[in-house]
Amino acid sequence: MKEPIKSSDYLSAARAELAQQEEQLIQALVANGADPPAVSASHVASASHSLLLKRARGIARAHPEVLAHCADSFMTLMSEYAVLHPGSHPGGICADAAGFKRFVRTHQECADHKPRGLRQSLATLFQTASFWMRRSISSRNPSTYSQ
Amino acid sequence: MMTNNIPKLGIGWRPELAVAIERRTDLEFVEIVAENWPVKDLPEPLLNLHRRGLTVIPHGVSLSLGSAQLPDVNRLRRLNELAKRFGSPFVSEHIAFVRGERLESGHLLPVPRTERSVSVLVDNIMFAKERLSVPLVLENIAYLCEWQNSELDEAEFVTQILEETGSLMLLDVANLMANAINHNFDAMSYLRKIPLDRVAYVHVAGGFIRDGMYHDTHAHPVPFGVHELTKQLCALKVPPMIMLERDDMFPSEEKLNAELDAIKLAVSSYSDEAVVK
Repeated sequence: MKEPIKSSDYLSAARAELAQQEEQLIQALVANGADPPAVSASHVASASHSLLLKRARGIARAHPEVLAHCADSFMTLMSEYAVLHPGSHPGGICADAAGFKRFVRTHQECADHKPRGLRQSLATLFQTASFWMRRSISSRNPSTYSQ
Repeated sequence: MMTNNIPKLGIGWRPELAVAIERRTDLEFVEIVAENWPVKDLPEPLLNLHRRGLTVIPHGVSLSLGSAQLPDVNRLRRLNELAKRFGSPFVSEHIAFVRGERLESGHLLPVPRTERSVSVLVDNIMFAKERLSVPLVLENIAYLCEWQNSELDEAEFVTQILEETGSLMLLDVANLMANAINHNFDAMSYLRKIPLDRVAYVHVAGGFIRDGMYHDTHAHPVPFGVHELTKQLCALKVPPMIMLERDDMFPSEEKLNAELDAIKLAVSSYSDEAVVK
């Protein structure tokens, strides 16, 4: 018969194991990490694609003008943005959409000014640094979520 | 004796659907995504519905009850504030995790179905319940990624969590159908195994099949299979409340009404028969 109350050691070990399993799955789904051994690769690929589409739909809904502006290149830009900013924004979809809008603007400015090597590298570096700074701040006001 | 046990009809309240919802007179409750509505900034059309007497159910999507960490107390406080504001009979959340130590997934992800995971989930849920003034109702999720190291099937997993925490269930029949298709199990067996007397309300939603996998999008019409499963559920046990979820690619008012009418039809054909059995 199953014991009704687990010891704190049991629970601590269970939490540690769960943390590792969940981190592996999230990394695989949104940060191009290795597939977790306990999940099939085809499921990860399908879910990863689905998460990107969901994130893109949320961004397009929050800023439809960006979708119109990007037109056919929307998903290409979205994929590039997701590589640079893995996982959804802790501040919610509105914050994520604002980040994507900035990314598109910077991307376009870089494309408009040649030579662009150094400029684009600096912009990417700045975006990456600011992204990780934002990550270090706990989530603020709730924004638009969906299931 | 025939008893009128037709479930209360509801819908997920979204600003894009506000007019259609307000015009519909047979709705008895709405569910709101708790994270979208701070208690001090509630939309007037939603408040109007509440004044009209509709029940409002706060529905969380970011508590991450299945995370390795305890749920965030600030998120719990916001959920509780909404429940108090609306006098809600309960709040609901998912049996899922949405974040790891460093990243937000942006979606509800499945917890490995092991005894050890159940112990963490139970501890997290009890922690949450202690901080809520109303019952916490737990929802089954749809998932594309299946853990190969599962020790329990989905029905056993959900049942164990409900029983160990003494919780009621939000049964999402679309999620159930999605998982049955994608992971090759019998949805009716699932319904026969879970404690149906613990079902507080039911979600119905749409989706579509891509590359052989069913995607529960809440952005497409409710498919035939979901309505059929709803009927089969009602043949076993009629739930007290049932609602439509639509989160994107919002339909016309006419099409939305047709979706709600289809749910009414699915449940009404079984309501009285289920009582006399």
